[in-house]
Amino acid sequence: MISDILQFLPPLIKALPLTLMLTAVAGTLGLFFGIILALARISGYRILVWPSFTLGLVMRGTPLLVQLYLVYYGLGELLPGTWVRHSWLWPYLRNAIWYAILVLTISQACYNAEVLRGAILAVPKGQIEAARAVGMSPGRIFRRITLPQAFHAALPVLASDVIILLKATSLASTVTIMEVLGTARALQRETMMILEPLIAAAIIYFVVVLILTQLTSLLERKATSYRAR
Amino acid sequence: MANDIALAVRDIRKKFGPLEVLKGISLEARRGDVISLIGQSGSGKSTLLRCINYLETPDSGEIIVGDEVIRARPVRGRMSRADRRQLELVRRRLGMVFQNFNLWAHMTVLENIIEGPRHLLGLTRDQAVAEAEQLLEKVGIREKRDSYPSRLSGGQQQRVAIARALAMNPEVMLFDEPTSALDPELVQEVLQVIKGLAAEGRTMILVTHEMALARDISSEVVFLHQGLVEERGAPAEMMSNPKSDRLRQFLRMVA
Repeated sequence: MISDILQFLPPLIKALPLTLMLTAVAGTLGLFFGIILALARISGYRILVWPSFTLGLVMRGTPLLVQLYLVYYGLGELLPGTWVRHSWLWPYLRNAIWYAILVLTISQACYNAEVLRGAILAVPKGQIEAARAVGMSPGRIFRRITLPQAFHAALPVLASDVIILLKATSLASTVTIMEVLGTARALQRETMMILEPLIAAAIIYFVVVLILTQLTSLLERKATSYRAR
Repeated sequence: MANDIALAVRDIRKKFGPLEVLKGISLEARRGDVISLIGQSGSGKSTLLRCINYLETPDSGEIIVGDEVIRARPVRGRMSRADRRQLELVRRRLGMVFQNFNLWAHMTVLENIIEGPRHLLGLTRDQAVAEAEQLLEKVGIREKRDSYPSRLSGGQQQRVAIARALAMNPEVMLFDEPTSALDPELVQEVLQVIKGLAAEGRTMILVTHEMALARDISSEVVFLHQGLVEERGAPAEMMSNPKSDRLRQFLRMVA
């Protein structure tokens, strides 16, 4: 059995870059849009607060798998009947990976926004005032004073959200994407072995998460070194 | 001479809800003047200081820095700065020191000081660092240049905050109760720095409860009571010979 598991590792490791790519792309874009959503939430303008709040509620209140199905099958159903069918976008839209990236990104953005919103509001008002008094513009204050401190404060949760995202990319296997779990499922079918490919996949996820955890705790220690002990 | 005036405050009024905190106050600081604002808490002195750089927006009246009036206009029934860019440029000419220091926690002492000069005044990093080191020398904490604020005492933090304000080369320094948040044994080191600045001929507006400081360094003391100037004049005269009952009471209380 052990040797069976070991034999599945190389093909699964070959699929790992796709898993990592999904994590990296959705993680990065999710952080970017998460900042924007968080800003929208605290902007005080109703036309920004309301949509960002609702989006967050819906995305965090429904299963990722349901969202993925809705987008993949829903858009897959709707789009061919529209102008998109004949546009330059179409070749891309036939590839499931874009739907997976879309859903993972929005979901990640909503979770990130939730943490960042609190962290932004927690930056001491006096420091913002000092920045205004010295003549900084609101944009510069956000970039130089607010965001760095909010980011440092949110880092532990942001990091654990990335780890959850890494594991959530396995859902992409349900829409034909051959990342680690998708590849494991294919190996099951090829070899008629049920457990061994899954165990091999679990080992790979586990090792990657272990490495990520080490990296993020290192990052956390560096990023918060300025705080009072 | 008009261009001798570093800062003029003309008939400033400010309400917070129904509460009228400032009921029409004027000040004029010529270059080198040190004006101390004294009065009980709630008299409006901190609000007045915060109106000078528009951290609070006055409901009416004018702030004039050098010969530049901060432009304001009503927005939905409330006064607001008219031109954000103009206000930012005027603020660079006013250094502000806060009661609670308000250093940027994620930056070292040095980074706090060079932030403005580098990014707002356009100095190179080397120029900014060279000037910052002189300022740190001046406020007596050169050895702390690479520490984070959380590792410093209150007195050290306040001296860094003063250096940060000075780094912008402001025409006027504004101090908002700079020693009120300090442990008693740390007050002196900050007072020394402020006295030094006065001796150099810095133009300063100072909100303080330190009567000895106000007496020693002020060219004018302004006593506020319930949003109005109750009495103003030369410090020695005012403090030894107060004309109004309220000032007499106040001086007896803080003595």
